[in-house]
Amino acid sequence: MSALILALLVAAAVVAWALARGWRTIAPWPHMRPVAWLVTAGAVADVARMALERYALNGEPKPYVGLVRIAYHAEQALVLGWPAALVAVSMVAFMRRRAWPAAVPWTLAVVAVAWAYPWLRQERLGYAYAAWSWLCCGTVAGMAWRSYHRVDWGPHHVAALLLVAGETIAAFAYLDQQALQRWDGPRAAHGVALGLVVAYLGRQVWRYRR
Amino acid sequence: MTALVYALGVVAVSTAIGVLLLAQRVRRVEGMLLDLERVRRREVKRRARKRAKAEAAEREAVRH
Repeated sequence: MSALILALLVAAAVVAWALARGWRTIAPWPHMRPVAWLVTAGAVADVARMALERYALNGEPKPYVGLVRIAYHAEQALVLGWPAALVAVSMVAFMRRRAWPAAVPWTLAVVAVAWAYPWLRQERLGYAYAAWSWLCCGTVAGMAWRSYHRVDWGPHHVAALLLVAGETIAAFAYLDQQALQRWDGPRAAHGVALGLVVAYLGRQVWRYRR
Repeated sequence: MTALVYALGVVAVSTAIGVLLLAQRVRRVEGMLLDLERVRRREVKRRARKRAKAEAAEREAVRH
């Protein structure tokens, strides 16, 4: 299932870059670049997270200490990074602002979860992750609502919103430790969202093909 | 079962996004039609003014 998510992320990155660079289309769409960077970074982060889980955290005694703890916090930073990246892309797409201010709350969140460890783990960590995800998704929803009557939404807006939809639903799993350990619900949510993004952007490539 | 519920949740939210997008497109087309109607009315008024001016000039020419 993880391999499927990774494959969908790579497929989404390919179609997003095809639109952004105009590989097979009439003209390049520079406004697709943030979305292309987002899914590319998502694919890289997914590989890094899987590598950390398999090679650094697998079978280590809890609570983690030393280098293993650093690897664990790096994995947490990647988990917290996806909703923050959605906010960053939405700031560029909906508000036409720079993306970097989204890095400030993300850094604070990473420092907070690292500082609160080992108190903040298992159920408490799940609640913290859910709160973070919904805070980020709510911020994106607010930005989208503000821009709704001002800007005509294009494929880059829709792609960002579809990914936010996946994250919003996937975050429900953080509230249930059993669902979180099985991880099939969030994967299904992200899988459907990414599938829709690939289909939607693929249709744009086909529609504006050379 | 859980995966299906999550997948359906995403489909529901995506449908809502699609409806919003569609509503925006409809509003845009509606706006374009309103603009066209405004241009048409302006054109009708302009022609009426021109005709009235031409008729006035003609009347003036006949009198002299």
